[in-house]
Amino acid sequence: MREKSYVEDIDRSIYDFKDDEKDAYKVKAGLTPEIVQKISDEKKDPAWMQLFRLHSLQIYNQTPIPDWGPSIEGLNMDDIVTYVRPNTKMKAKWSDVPDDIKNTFERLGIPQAERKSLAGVGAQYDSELVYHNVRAEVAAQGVVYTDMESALHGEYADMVRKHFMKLVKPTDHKFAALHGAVWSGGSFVYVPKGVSVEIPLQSYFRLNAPGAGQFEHTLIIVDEDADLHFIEGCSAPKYNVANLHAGCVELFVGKNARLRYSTIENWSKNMYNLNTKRAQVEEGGKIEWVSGSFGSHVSYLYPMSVLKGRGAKMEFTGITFAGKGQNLDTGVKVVHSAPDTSSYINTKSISKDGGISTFRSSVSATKAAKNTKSAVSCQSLMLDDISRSDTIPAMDIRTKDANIGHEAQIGSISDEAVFYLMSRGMTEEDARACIVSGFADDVSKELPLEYAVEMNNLIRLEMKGSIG
Amino acid sequence: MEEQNSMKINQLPSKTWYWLGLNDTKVKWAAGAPCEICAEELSADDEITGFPEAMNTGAGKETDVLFAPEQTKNWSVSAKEGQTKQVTLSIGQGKEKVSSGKIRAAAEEGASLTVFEVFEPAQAAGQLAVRTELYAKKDSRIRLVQVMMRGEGQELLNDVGCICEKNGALDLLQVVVGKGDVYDGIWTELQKDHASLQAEIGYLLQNQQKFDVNLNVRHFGKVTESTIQADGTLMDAAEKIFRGTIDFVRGSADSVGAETEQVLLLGDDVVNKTIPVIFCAEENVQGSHGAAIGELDEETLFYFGARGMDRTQAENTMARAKLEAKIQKIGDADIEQKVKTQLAEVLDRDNR
Amino acid sequence: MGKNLLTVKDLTVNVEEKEILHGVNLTIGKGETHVLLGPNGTGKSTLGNTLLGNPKYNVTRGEIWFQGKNITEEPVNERAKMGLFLSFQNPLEVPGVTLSSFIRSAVELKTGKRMRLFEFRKELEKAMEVLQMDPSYADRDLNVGFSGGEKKKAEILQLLMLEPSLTILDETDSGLDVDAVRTVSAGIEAYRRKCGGSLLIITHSTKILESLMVDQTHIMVEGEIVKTGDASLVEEINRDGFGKYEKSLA
Repeated sequence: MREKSYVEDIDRSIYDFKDDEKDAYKVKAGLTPEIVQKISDEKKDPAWMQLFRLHSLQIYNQTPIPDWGPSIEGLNMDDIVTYVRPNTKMKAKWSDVPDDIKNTFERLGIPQAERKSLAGVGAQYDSELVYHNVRAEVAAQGVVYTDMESALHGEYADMVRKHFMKLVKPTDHKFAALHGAVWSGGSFVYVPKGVSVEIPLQSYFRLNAPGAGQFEHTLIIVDEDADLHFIEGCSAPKYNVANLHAGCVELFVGKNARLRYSTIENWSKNMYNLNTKRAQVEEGGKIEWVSGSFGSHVSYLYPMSVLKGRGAKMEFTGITFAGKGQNLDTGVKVVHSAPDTSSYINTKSISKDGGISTFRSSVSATKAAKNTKSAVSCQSLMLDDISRSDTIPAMDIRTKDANIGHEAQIGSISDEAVFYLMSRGMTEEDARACIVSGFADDVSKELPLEYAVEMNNLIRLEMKGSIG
Repeated sequence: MEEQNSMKINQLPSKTWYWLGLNDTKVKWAAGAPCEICAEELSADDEITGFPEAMNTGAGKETDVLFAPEQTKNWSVSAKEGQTKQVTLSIGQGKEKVSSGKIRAAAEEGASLTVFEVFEPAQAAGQLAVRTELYAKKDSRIRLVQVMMRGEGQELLNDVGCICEKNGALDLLQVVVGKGDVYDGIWTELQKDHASLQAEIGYLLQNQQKFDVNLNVRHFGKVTESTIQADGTLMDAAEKIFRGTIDFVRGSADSVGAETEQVLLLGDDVVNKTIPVIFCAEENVQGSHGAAIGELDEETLFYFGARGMDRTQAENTMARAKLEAKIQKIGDADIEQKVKTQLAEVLDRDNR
Repeated sequence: MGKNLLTVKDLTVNVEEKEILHGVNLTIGKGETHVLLGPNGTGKSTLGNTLLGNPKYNVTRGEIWFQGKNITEEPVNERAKMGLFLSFQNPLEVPGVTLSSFIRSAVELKTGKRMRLFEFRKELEKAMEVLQMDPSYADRDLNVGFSGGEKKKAEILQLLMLEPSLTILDETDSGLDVDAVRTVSAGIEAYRRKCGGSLLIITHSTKILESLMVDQTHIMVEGEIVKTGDASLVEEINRDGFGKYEKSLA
């Protein structure tokens, strides 16, 4: 038997630094109406929001834990600290952000990226935004980029109220209800009619406190004919206790507008990532998802798009990399509910070192969705025989005027390909690495350069040594 | 009438979102009298040596109650070592409104057994449940051809289980030409090396007709192979659920599984649900699935158009052609003729 | 339109927003044989497909008249029934429909009359003989498992049975060996004898023309007919290639 080369795990050392805990305020672990009330008071919620939170908590208590995905037994809600407020008020200048928090983001490269290539940046540390800034020329176009709390009280309060958790309702599932009860932080973006934001906006989420949950809410409204690219990055150091991320992203894409939403998720491997993302697209609009899932212990992540207006479009490009101790259940959902709508889904997944990756999807077309087109392609790569890769794609088509295509492949690195590359002088390690990065290429080429570099670092497949 | 059992059948081996309604199908079914099976060379309850005590089936455990010994008779057929044998079973609902039967078929080492099961239309509405358990021993081949020709209001529960030993093969062909709802469960275990499954399903559904399929193949042995192909047409307000699962269990190295589905949608109120699942716990395997669902593609329409056919003519030609292509593979002239006659009879005038 | 069978006026065609044909004019009389020559990728097949009404090809300007009727907006099946025939480069494979039943229903659609099976089979066998096709092909599924040459023959077989008044042969000779080209040519001659139909032969080689009487030759370069002449033009192209015409455009 030839020796099998070893694909190195993602190098996490750049994320795995921890700061000392010195939070200003922390609610008790566990979840009661009192705690929810307390969060609400602390955040000076408007009255409707406080009711909304309490109502969501009721739903949370009545809703069963999902029994169809990866086990979340390791997650004890009573142990998750829902609200951790960092010891600082939100700042608009990096120099005003406390040194330890600033250092964290410096090490993650956020301020550098802002200077170079971003139109605006938000940085969330545990439950609250600590930094928010948008370039003057972008702000001058009327683009609003602020933290959710400010948005709830400011000029856009009505708009927020009109849209908040209307797309992802607390009744959708247990963790949407939880989010409704304890959400905190996140960003609000409004791009006015006809405005094209030339360079991306970015939010970066960092969870530092052990045993905490992060429940940020992102609400983006891209008005008619407007255009935006929004980037979301997430990371956390590894602790021995479970952390929970149950964020919620609601995206409203107006008539003939376009929104690209890119995510690189690299939570540490004690994270339960139960995130909900949803977009609603009006006539002629387009939502583009680019999604990389590398971190977390357990993930449930299926960005959903509702193609509501005639000619609305969706594109999804995603990669999931499940290594040791990871069970990543990711995928996509799309509902075609208007004529001439189209969706293109292209995903890749890699499983190694006992990691489990599951691609789960649904493509629905209602009777109204005449002349619908959808193409799904998913490919999975197994790097050893102790890992697992499952594909569970569903289609529910209720219009005859449809053209729905689906294809999936599961396989391993072909010996022929390795042999070919080795015959051109590569080592086996290099050859395998080369094939795996080629496999991920579809996704990395959809990312802005800095992120593609970050992703390539993440999948740096250094082939060192070998296992027998 | 007997009391009806509520049961969950055709369960997906791994659940997904409940709102899709794909995790299982709930039916009400009564346990009745034995069904009528006409055939030569079929013995009632004749023991075959070494037949597995229990076998997984596609419809699942909850249907066991329908096939309990007190409810029905067992029939069995086997091909002896090295023998080539063919039996045709004509299966009817009988005089009862509700009936069920269980058939065991075994192919001994090196044998080749072909079983034709023809589910006949009945005089009146009713429920017919039949379970077929198949056991393909080393180097044997079982060919099971199931022709489902039930009439309107005549439900059929067709439950199949199969175990293939080393180099054993199951070759399955199902053709649905009728007006009754069909619940179809198939579970195949490729237990040992080089075992294989080849499954083909063809259907043409009209009006409110339902076709609910749960096909599972589990690869245990090395170098096992499965190909699954389901092709059909939905007209009017017909509804079809196709669950197809290929499961590569750890240790099934160098196995290949491929599944394709083509559905032609012609009715304004059709419901088509498809979930092609692959589970993979082994590195050196190749699994794939593909589905094409919808109307006729432009290229096909243009070719037919260039020969003078309009859209409706092209669609009806293709719907019939898809089924004909399966009928041709039945491999028994009498049955093929019978199915063609049935097709002409059941096709509504508008759908011709 | 006189006794012209086909008149194409200023035909301009887009494929996916890109203009491929730029104002093509062409007239074909009854019983005439025309040849359309040109380098690869120059729009010849686009013209053939557009004449038949392939919805992928979008007519943005100009008209197509056939048998005295403006058919620019007619759907493909109506054009076929009027007597326009296109032989496909890659004909469709249809499992479950036999070659003979397919041809029979096409003939019945064109004539509007039921045809007795016996008569139909007799005529089909005769036509298959001309094309040196094994009679067993009649009962095989349409083009399923046919070789490239057999598919082309199956197209010519349809031509013989349908007797269209204008036939467009789209690269029918490409990919065929010498013997197969000869057989296909024999089929085309038989068609001419049988019903005197007109021909528009699209090709980028000239092998297939050897045994045919050509009335007119058209050279197409980059979506335009740049030269029309008699049969001698074919010889000229054989000798000198398209170089001269390509340059004249530049």
